[in-house]
Amino acid sequence: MIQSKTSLPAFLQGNEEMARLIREKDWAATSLGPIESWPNSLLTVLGIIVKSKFPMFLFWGPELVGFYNDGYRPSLGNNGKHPSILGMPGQEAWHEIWHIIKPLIDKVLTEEVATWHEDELVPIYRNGQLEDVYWTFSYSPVYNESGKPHGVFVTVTETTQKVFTQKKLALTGENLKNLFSQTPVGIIVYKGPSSIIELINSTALEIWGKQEADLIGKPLFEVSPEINQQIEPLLAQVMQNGEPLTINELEVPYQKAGELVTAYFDLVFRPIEEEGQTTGVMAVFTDVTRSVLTRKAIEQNEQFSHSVLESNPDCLKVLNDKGIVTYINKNGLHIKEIDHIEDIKGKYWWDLWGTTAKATIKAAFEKALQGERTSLQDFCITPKGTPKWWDVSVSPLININGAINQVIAVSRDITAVKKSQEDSLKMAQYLKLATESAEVGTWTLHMHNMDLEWSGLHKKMWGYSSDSDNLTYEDWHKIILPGDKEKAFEKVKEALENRTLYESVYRIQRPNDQVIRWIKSLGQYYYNDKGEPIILTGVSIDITKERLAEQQLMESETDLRTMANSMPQLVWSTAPDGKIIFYNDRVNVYSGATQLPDGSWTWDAVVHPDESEDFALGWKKCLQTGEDFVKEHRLKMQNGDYRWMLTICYANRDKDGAINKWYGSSTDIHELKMHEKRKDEFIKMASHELKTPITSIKGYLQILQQKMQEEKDLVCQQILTTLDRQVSKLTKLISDLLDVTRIESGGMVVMSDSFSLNELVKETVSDLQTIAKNHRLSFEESDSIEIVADKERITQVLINLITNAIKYSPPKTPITVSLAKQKDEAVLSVEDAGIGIDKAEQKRIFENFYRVSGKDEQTYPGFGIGLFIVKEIVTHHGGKIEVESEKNKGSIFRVRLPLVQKDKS
Amino acid sequence: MQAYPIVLLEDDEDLGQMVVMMLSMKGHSVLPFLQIEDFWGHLEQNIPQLIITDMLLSGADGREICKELKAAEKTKDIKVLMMSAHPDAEASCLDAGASAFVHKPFDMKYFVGKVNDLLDSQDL
Repeated sequence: MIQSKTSLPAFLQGNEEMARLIREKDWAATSLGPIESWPNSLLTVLGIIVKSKFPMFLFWGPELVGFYNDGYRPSLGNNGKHPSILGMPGQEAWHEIWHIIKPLIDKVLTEEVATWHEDELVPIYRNGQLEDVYWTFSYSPVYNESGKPHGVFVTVTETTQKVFTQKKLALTGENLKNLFSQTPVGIIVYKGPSSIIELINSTALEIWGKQEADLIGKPLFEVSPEINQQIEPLLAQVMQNGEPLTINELEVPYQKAGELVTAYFDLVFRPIEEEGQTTGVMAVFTDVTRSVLTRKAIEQNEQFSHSVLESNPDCLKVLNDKGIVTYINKNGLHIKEIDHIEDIKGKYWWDLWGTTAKATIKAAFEKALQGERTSLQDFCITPKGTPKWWDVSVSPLININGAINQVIAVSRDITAVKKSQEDSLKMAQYLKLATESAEVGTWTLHMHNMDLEWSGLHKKMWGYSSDSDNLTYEDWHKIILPGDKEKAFEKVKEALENRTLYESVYRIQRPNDQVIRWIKSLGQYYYNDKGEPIILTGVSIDITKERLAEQQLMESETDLRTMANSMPQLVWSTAPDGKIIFYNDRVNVYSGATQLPDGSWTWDAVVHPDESEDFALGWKKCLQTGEDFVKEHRLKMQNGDYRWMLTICYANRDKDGAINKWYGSSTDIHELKMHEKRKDEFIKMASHELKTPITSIKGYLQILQQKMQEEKDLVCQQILTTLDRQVSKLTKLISDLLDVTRIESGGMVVMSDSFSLNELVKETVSDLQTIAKNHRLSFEESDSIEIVADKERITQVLINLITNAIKYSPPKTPITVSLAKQKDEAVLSVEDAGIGIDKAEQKRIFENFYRVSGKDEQTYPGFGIGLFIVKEIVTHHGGKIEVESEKNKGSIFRVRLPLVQKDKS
Repeated sequence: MQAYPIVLLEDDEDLGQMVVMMLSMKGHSVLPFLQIEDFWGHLEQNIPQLIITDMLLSGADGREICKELKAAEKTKDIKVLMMSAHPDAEASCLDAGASAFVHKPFDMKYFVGKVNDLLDSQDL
């Protein structure tokens, strides 16, 4: 081994990795044979390669066997070609790119020339995958002993990193480009000695009449030789001395849409410097063709080229050397809102302007007289009061003799442009103000790198510290709750696809405190002139509080509904106008109401026809007056049957007393109603059936009385009188029962008679005294009172009151009846010294079947319907009944009757 | 002169008997009928001065009978006195053509007075 080692060339005995690999490889198994047999030419080249730090590669011999050095080794990466391709035929080692490099190798070998390739993309297999790798490399021929090219020597540098950096830079340039694209001046950036067009904005493209794709990356001479001819020397000048160059009204003939046009430009060439070297030129230019042509026309012809001037859309004015307006074109009058040319002719031009602009205008005029052209923007109100912004160009007019004795002023109405500028400025200010005063966070998403800019408040809102930097799109979506995330993404996408505003509501979990918040985001995409989105920018608001409040409201509403639905009643609420806005499920189950399209329903379809008119009128009245609504009525069921309901509705008022809602309920009282009806029918039938035998008994009694009278049998007469009295009592009870029945079924009929109330009371009292032997009845007579009323019914009232007094007073106590006239009322009082009535009971004594209980639960005979009948009769006469009573002292019942009956209630 | 100037139609036998007694005591001849058919049969041969009838009869309405009497030429001049225990009967009975109405139960004096009035007015 030592021998073989010493026989190796010195360069292979070194410590380099590749030196070791070369000497350790079994070359005898390859087409090259053992190292000892290698020609000197190969060994010489290998010596250079192995010892060099610069990356080098060698293809050798007909098989193009590969060698490389330590400098080259990193470019092969890991898990790739190294070290297997050492000594491998080229086609085998580089199979994936052989189609690229084989032609190059062949070219070098056959033409014996060196090649140069800069930043070429040659993807190779390394690091376990096929990677895009950029290279700058040179191939050159290597000669063998016979002087023939026998191999290819490759020096190579990997430039992937550099290319990527450049690409990034270009991307940044892209943003810059977007900014420039809307600028109203033309901008073109040329790079390098051959004036490659690197950047061009939309204004420049428009002037040039070309597509961006046809220009970018191409030298000016290639895309426009005619312009190049003129511009190239200027660009070269700037490139050379690095000084900006300004040229006004440069005449440039060029091809536009297949036609040769001549335009005039004001140009500024500005050098672009990189690392102290001028590497390019930025040309900024404005098209001044119109004003130049106009002026030229004027200069060429003292009479003016009328058509040129008059057809000009701007306002053109010619001023004499004193500054007096001598000419204005038609469009000028129009846009300046001047009705008659005489209004301004002969006036100093600056006097047409407002005080603030006057000095500027005058200065521009004076400069023009000196031969200088001025452009300015100023504000002026037209004679009609329209505020307008003007772009004004003031130029001298040179006559044939080369003297300046006139000035031309061209004014362009730029109000709309100004306004939009101001609007956006204002908008920005408003937005800033709004975001600062409200708890609003602002954000901007840069579409090219998905960087996210957040305002401090936004960061805080989202639980990031306000000094956290370099936030990305991921920082936004990673804290959105999983349930909301997909939807949030969808919204971002949707706004882009539909070109609409972005609006989204979602929940986030703040990373700092894990609290869940509701967020609402609004935003808008901004696009470049190619229609690509540049940024998505907008605001976010924390709406957790509102959401919670809404939720609470919903919950309490749900509570209310659940409660309402669990009730056996129909409950609902209506708007102040009576439109039903809420009702419980029971309404659906119960009523045969047809729902209206908006989910509400109306009463008219479900209230029984017999009650519907009364119901509707009553409801209408309540809506007008705000009174409580109480009605008994039948309601249609789902099966079409009707059931009796008690409907009550109260107005709910706000703190100012205005009705904001009506709350109502309907309770099923059908069973009660039916029960009452059965009771009524029973009473009616019973009383009728009872009266027939009583009629017989009473009749026979009277016949007997007659007989006993004739036979003068006093004992029997006495018995029969008592019997007759008892039968009369029974008759009265039955009559009262019938009366109650009739009152309750609404069947009481009140007749109208005219009679003397005094007489009636006197007769009745006297009649009753004969029955009430144990009490002293007295009647204090008064003035004669004539009254129009139902005589029988009024008698009934009197009888009921007096018999009541008798019933509830101890024997021998006085019962006083009195009568008086008060205004247009007759007041009838019945006073006793009986058991009296409790305050609590006083209200209830007029209810039917109510009976005052006496001492020790003692009850008094009767149905307890007397006072009910009295009250009903008095009410039917339009009168009132009052009671004044003290327990164990006695009672006074006072009836007030109108002297003349009004409309019956 | 008819044997019975007063005819009574009352399906309650006791009540009918009572009315007959009451009026007989005051010198009136009354022929009572329990059945409507018998009543109509009697009227074919006889024209009484006064017919007293209850409003609610078993199987018939006194008001309909009254209307029928008033509709026939032969019977239209016969006075009809109607009685009822029904509280609202008076108006409808008078509407049906009755000359007078008496509420049940009634006072003998009042009832006989009414009958006399009706017979007297006919004599005029």
